[in-house]
Amino acid sequence: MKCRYLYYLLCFLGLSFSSGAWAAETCVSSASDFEQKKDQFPQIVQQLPVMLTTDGMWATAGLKIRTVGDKLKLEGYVWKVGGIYADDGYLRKVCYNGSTFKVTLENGKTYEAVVKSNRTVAIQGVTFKKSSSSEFASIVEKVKKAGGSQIRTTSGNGVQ
Amino acid sequence: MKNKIILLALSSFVMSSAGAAGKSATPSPVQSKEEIEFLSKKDQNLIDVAKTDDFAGIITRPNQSNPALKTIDLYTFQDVKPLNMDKTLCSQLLERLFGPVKESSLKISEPEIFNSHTGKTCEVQVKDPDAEGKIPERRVLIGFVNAKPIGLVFRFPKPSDKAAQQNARDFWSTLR
Repeated sequence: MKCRYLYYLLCFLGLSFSSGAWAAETCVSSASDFEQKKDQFPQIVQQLPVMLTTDGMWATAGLKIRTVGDKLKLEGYVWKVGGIYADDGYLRKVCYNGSTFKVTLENGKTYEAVVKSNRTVAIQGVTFKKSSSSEFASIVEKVKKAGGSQIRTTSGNGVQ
Repeated sequence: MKNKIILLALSSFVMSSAGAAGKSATPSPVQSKEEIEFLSKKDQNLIDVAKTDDFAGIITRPNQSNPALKTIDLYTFQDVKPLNMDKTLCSQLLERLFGPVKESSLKISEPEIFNSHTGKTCEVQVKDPDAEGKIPERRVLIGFVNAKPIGLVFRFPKPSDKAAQQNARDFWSTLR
């Protein structure tokens, strides 16, 4: 009887490992960390900066992950009614479990990005495709033009 | 006759849809003496990708010509006690916006407390040392409006000047 339970347990463990259900999670928290472990990340993010764009019915947006010194930073441009909305934030940690990224910003915000293919990820239900610098620039320009170019510079003298 | 009824039904549907689209689905948590528009994070996908849960949405000032002062992040804080602003409370709420100050890549100034129309209010400057950053400076105002704690974040593409800083405070004084 004991042997039968042991057999079932071994079968369960074998199936779990072979199916990748217990795939090890890879996490990085800096640019140098990413450089060392990038082979464990999917193709879509292996080269920094990573640029992703979407231009569909639900959203027009561009996201970029780039390095600032040894830190990783997220930049985003989203078209909204009445103008462009630009935002950014430093990343504290990015983890990948074989199918999904879990991104944690320094402010504590976390969100998930589900890898759908070598060139696409889904964030908050919106599919982004991997893009070149020029594709990214064209989306940001489109967003700027649509929004009346709200990211203009202000005059200022740098007073603290 | 049948066709007319269908046409009438379709046109009334289109008109009601258009009417609904023209309205902001979620009302602003704060009012202003100045004309403002509010876009809730619930009504616009992706604007909160880099924001913490306290982020409520974006306030737009249609009559403001300076882009840096036109679009403002609005935060509404839940479960805050006591309802009296001081440097300690301000630091706690700042942490809910930007994470722990000591671990942040952003350079966050010491909170400054000033008296506004709603009582003690906190002001903080947040600088991003990233030379290529699109938002090198943020200015944060945190205080109480109708006894509810809220935060405004103005985002500057170039360092702000005194006039812009005063304009931000002036906008705070319009909140009701």
